[in-house]
Amino acid sequence: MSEPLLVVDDLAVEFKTEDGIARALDGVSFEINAGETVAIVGESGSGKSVTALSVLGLLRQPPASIVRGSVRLRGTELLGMSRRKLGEIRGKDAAMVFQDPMTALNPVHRIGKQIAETVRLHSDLGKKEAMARAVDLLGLVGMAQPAARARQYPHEFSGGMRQRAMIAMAIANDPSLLIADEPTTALDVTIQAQVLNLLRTAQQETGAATVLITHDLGVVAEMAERVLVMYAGRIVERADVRSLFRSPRHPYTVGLLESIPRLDSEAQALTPIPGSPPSLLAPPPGCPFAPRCALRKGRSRCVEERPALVSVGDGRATACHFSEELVHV
Amino acid sequence: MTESMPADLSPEARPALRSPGRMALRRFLRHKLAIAGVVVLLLVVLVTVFAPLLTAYDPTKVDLSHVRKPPNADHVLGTDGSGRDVFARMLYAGRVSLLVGVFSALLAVGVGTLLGAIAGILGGWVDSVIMRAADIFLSFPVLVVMIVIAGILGPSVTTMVVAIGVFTWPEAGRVVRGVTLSLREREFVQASQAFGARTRWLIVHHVLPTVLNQVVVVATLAVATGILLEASLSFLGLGVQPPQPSWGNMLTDAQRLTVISQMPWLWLPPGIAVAITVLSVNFVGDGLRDALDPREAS
Repeated sequence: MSEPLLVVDDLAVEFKTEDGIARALDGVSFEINAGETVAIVGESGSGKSVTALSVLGLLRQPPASIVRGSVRLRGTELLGMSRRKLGEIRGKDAAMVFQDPMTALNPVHRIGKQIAETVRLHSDLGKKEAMARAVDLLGLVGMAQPAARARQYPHEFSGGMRQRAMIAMAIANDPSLLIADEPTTALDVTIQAQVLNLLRTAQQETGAATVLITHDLGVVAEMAERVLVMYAGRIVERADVRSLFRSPRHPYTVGLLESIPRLDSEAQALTPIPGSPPSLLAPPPGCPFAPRCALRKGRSRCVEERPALVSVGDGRATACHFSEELVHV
Repeated sequence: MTESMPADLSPEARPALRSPGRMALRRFLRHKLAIAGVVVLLLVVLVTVFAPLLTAYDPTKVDLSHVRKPPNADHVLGTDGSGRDVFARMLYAGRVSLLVGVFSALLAVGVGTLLGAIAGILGGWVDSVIMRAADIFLSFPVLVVMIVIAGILGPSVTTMVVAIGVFTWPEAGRVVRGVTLSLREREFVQASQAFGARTRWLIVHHVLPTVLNQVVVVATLAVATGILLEASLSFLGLGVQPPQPSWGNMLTDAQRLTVISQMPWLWLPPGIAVAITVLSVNFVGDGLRDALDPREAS
């Protein structure tokens, strides 16, 4: 098997805050293969976005600092790369779709111009050709009357249309890696499915590997082939999407799945995960999930020894001392 | 921008475009003092540009047979100590004063915008160095420094423009840096970076269009500062050198008490010209500030 497209190895990121140093990522490792769709799930503050931003070198340092680790895109180390070289990679090899399309477009430029500029960042097309490409891209992302739309300003677009424009910008230069950071969170539910479909189409058109960052397990089930579950700056479970939903191997994943409202279940009430995520300022020595864990049952190993992410077969891995107790039925 | 578009977004169905520029223009036109300022400034510019059509006198022509004559039929505003026509001198002087004001302002705003944008975008030590430099330039008494510069390099219009520009850039620099800092946190700038944009691109495509409004206002007010500094330096004999007239060096005569008390035609006209011009520029600046600031939208 050839080298994966993206390799993130033992990535640790800290943020300097007024109250001390917060460890936002603590030894995150994963691989993305060409053309696949991988979802990164987790609640707010689990490190999903920080992971995405560090891959593209977009973390502002300070306050952030990358303590250790490595991010390699097609074997090229991205951490510590010069601004100039990073600029050549961003948008061309790896592009990002941002969470809030309301703020990710510059209000003072026409949509077409913004897309054309992104095209021109990585090609020597003239203004006219770039604009023609921008109109093509708008058509590609399903915009009616793309030529007229290209002349409009962001405030004349709805949220869903803006996200389409963002996706058009992201795929403008045929990236091999597309990172979508909560692409549907800021949208109306009715628009979410359209944008997800569009992301899937975009992926098929460009063949880009897609990293989908979300806290919505519905989106995960819809889109992803593989899933990484993050908690408190660490990956706690890795699995293909089917196995993850069928037989989660980490108590946090179990908790996540139980807290989804379902139409086809008899259960009267949702089961929330008790408590809240640990402070990243002073992480407990043991398993970060231990204080909220239903599986712990008072065992001291959980608070004394930090579980490593270990393979449990079938390409799956989990960071729980007692994960075998979840294997049942 | 607080304007809201109707639900029908198809371009054909849109009502006449209320562009931000048009809305700003409308706000500006409501500002009566600013309009008055524009009118007066236009007059001043026209009068100085077409000076040869308005007076037959050569502003540097010495006529020792008519020295310090009060206003009369031949000389509308009288003559100065060398018998030169005061009205002609005042018109031609306006050219120098306006040129110095405009070019020093352009230089100051150009340098300030560039340095402010770089400081804001790059941050870190670059920001520190640039802003400390700004502090240093602001902590010098400008006039004293210029006297020294004029003393070392010799007084000339070019020296004056460069010196004024170099010592007044920090104001534009601070404004632009402030806007850039807040802009840097905006997601569209981060998105731009994620698509591969680097410093120069960010400055050209995001910072400049955004700061343009504020920069125009700062530039206008800098013109007023430039005109005043020119007048001060020339008054002290360190700016525009006689016989070339400037409003400042025409006022030099007013250093003598007898002139002030008995020959008002020598200093009142250039004094009034400076005051009116600077006042008009400031009114225009205020009007622009009100018109271009979106928060002023009503």
